[in-house]
Amino acid sequence: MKLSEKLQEIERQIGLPKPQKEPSSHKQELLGIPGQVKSVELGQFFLRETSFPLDHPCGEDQLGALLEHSATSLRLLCSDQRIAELDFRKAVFLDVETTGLVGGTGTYAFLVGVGGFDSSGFSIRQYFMRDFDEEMAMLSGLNDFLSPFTSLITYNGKRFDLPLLDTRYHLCRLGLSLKDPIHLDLLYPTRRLWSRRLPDCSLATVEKEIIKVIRKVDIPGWLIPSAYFRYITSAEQAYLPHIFEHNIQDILTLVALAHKACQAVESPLSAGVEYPHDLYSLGRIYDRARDYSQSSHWYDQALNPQLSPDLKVDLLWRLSLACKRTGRWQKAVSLWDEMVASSDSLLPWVELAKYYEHVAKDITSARKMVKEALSRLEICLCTRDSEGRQEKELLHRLSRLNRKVAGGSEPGELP
Amino acid sequence: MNLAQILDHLKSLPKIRRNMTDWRVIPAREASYAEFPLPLNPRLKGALREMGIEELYTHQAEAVELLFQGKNVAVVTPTASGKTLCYNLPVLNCLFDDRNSRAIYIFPTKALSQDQVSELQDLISILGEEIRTFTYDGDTPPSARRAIRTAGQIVVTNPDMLHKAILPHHTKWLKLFENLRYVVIDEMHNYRGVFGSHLANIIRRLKRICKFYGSTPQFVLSSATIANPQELAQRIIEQEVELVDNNGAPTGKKHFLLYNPPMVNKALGIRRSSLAEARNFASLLLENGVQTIVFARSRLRVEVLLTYLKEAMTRAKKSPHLVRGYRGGYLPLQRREIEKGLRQGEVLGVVSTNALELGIDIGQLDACVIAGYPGSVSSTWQQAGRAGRRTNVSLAILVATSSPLDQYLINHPGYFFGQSPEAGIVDPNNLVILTSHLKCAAFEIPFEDGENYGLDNTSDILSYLEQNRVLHHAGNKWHWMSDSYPAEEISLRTASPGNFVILDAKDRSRVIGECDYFSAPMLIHQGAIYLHESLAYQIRELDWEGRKAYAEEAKVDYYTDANLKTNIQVLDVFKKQDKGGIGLFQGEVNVTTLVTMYKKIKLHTHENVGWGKVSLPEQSMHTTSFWLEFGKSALEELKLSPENFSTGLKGLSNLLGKIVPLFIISDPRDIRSVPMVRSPFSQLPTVYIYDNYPGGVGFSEKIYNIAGQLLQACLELVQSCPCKEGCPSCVGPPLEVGDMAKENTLALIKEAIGKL
Repeated sequence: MKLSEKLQEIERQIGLPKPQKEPSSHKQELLGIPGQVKSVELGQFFLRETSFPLDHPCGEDQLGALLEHSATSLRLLCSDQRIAELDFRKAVFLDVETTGLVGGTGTYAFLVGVGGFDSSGFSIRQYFMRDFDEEMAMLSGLNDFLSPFTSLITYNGKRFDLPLLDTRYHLCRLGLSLKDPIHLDLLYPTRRLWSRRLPDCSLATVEKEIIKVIRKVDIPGWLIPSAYFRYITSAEQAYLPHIFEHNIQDILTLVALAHKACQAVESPLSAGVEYPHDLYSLGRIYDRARDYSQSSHWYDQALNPQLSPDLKVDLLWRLSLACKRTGRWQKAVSLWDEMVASSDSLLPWVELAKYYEHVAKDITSARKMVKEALSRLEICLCTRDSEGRQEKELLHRLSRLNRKVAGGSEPGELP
Repeated sequence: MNLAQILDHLKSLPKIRRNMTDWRVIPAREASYAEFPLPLNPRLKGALREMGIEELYTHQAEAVELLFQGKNVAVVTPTASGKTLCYNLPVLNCLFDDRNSRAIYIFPTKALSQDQVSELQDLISILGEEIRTFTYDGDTPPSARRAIRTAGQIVVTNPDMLHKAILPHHTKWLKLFENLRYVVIDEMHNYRGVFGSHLANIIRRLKRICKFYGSTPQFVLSSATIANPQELAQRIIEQEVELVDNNGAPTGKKHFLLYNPPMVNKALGIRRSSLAEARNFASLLLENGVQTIVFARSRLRVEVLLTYLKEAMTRAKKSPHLVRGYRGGYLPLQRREIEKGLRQGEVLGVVSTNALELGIDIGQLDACVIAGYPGSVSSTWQQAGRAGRRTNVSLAILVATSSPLDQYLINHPGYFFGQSPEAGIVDPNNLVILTSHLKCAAFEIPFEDGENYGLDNTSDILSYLEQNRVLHHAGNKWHWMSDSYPAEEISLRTASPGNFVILDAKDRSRVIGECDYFSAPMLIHQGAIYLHESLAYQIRELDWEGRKAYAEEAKVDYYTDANLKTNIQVLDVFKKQDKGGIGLFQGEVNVTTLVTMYKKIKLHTHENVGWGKVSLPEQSMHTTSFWLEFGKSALEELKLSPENFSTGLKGLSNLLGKIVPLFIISDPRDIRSVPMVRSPFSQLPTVYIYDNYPGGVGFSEKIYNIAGQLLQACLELVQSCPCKEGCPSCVGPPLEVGDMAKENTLALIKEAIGKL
């Protein structure tokens, strides 16, 4: 029995599907896709170029709208501070279509779309391998194009597109020419700005809810690998134009999304950020940047009956801290007073104690707050480590307060 | 009493002496030393001296020197002989010479790797050198993974992680694969049968990736005593391996006792419970303050023994907390605490499953009680090795149960104490295993035309995979073309493809247990009683296509026994010999099994209280088999009635099915034996023993080679069993096998042995 027959027999017995018909492999002319076959030293690949004017619409806006912004405003939304140096006119927008969503070395990028602004507007180049043996040529062609760029804009490119390309270049024994670019991965700003409002942060959701793009005929992302396989094995080209269009739209969406993100921090209210969740998110963003007057401003704005109760508790706490940090003590104390009456948390007690001790210099009240906090700890039976630590801290604070009283460093106070 | 006095006390008791089948005293061994090998870095020598190591043991020095010469090495020495130094020294030495070099340590289990890392860390901290050693397993936090991938100089992992997380992402491990100098495979004896065949294929993939990055690592394997360490090592890494087994570590005097609980009912062959006997020994030791480890075969038995021993401690007016349990299912922190307590002597006794058999560091104890034969001679030595100080006397007691394997062993001390006859068997070229790893390999790096993987005709399998649309040939390469992750589809540790899950019929998302594909028709057919953690469930529905069964907890006083009809068709004969009417064969077979009905059998009384029908598709499996055939002349000489002959054949099949795993270190479920009064192959009475895994794993070839030895073992087991007509400890109970089961089986065995 031939090895393959034996295998087939064993696999039939353990219930695996029967093999299908003989595959075919040939590089054919691509029908209905404008573009040309390019030849480089390492072989051939297919390249499609498409241009759009600056007033080309994308959702509610036009492509050119992005050029009105400077990336400086995105510093608030990114951890990489080099982002301020990014020039939207000179950045490359990148999105890949792959043979799988599972990752690992067996996943190929069969179509790489790259876009950028130029004298005529916005141009997109799509590098495509008509069969697996064109990968090396395609990657080398892409390298030639990418080498002058120093900045990159993607969606989830840090975790997906870039590592995947890196792997592909390694496996072809080439090196990606784009070395340590300034990388604006729009997934992270998106999460900071809108994750509390959106059901998820997939590009499709963001496109629909934030950019308001409506795709007419679109192939869903998860179908793309099998559509490509179908083209490879049966020369069935029907899906190919849709994959190319899908990729183009993804790149246009990147442009529009970058614009929306800039707008959301530059002029939030005009950007239609009327949702309380988004305003709360703005507060968080400014908290992170330690700009507490801004953060307390947005927290105030976000206080709205539509806000979910959980978020509201969190918001008030953060607002109180922002007030404390900007010296608005009266407001802070009134918030804490409100909290001790309505929640189980010990934190407002501690904050009040600190306030009375260090700001109001009212040791008696400070001691009262610490004792209140300690009595609450007893009620909830200290079981967790964090509570054990809290208890220690409180006791430490109490003994210091007692010492202050006994040492008479605060005249006029009685024990 | 101290341990020496306890030994004298035991010797003086007639009832103990009567049931001891052997009392071996293994004399103390002096240490034999060798100087530090010359190329060893002076700072390493300094660190060793700081740890009080002035010289190496002979086996350590030899291993280190061979590795310095660039050889691959398999180190085979007993527990606590300082095996880890054999590979830690060359690895650290190499890292001194070149900070960029890398090493991978592969341990079979997670717990073990953590332990070895802490030992390595101790050595490194004395060196005062920054050598980045990291454990990369399922528990490694994602935030730490990136650093480990690029910076880890020694990466400690297990076969599962290597297979699923490291190899398929090799581009992220660039630094590791470009600079890989050593691959350490510890506890090699774990890699046998199916698991070993998988590991050998993982190593093939690893080597293929190393070749891509231009590195050629050396391999160091270490193992407990088995019959064929060098052969097994060479099968796993497919390269020449030097064997190092000149153990130079000292040991104190050791008493090894084999104890067979007395017979309670001779006719039925029932003995006193091994658990109760083990408890008596253990409580005697513990009450006298002798640090003792007790091994039991299952989690349940561990808990039962633990309860007994805690009670005994309380009765002796000692703290019951001095005795602890240890098994899978305990939390990691709890385990670490017990291990530490044992090392420091704060824990006096521990009852464990084989979880503590592996090299987890608990120090050396004084005594070890093994309740029931652990299943292989090498496991028994591993467990017994837990007791044994470098200088003092120690004790190990093996208490037999009434199973045939235990009874054979306890009555054949010569066999047990002789050179271990067990061999680790792997078959990396099992077609199913090879093909599944070939997919992973193609996922990792495309195959080139003419490239071979294990077999010469690799291209045959590659084109088969292309027809199945998982590979695509373009240019001169075979590319992975599927949106799936092939490593996810393989389970390294379970034998069969496509497991069934057993779900709660009420809460359909709750998983109760698992069942392998080939056992499913027997165990989880509709109406079957499925026992799990001593709870009874009744199977309500079996979804064959979906590989699911739905079960409901049931209060019943019976269990079910499915009636399995097996048919074996011989496809090809690879080897055969005919000796005066007794034929031995090895070849390829197709096994078809069909379950048509089941019996309901009352608990305790074993009465048949009803039956039910099963309608399930026939299953077939293509595998390899050994078979023993009684030819016409043998039948004429035997002069048995057809009925008696059939009884004898059944008895022989039962015996072989139980004895074989002992000789080939396999799980009893890895093989199946089937008697056929009239085999369709030859029309003659035949006993088949086949590999219970599609494609075969190499057991049948081994069985063919040692058939005479196996029959001899069967003969001895039956002859030494004191029962009258047969019992579960030998040929099986007459009610099941037939009248005069013992006599008829003996006749067949003698006939076969006479001819071979």
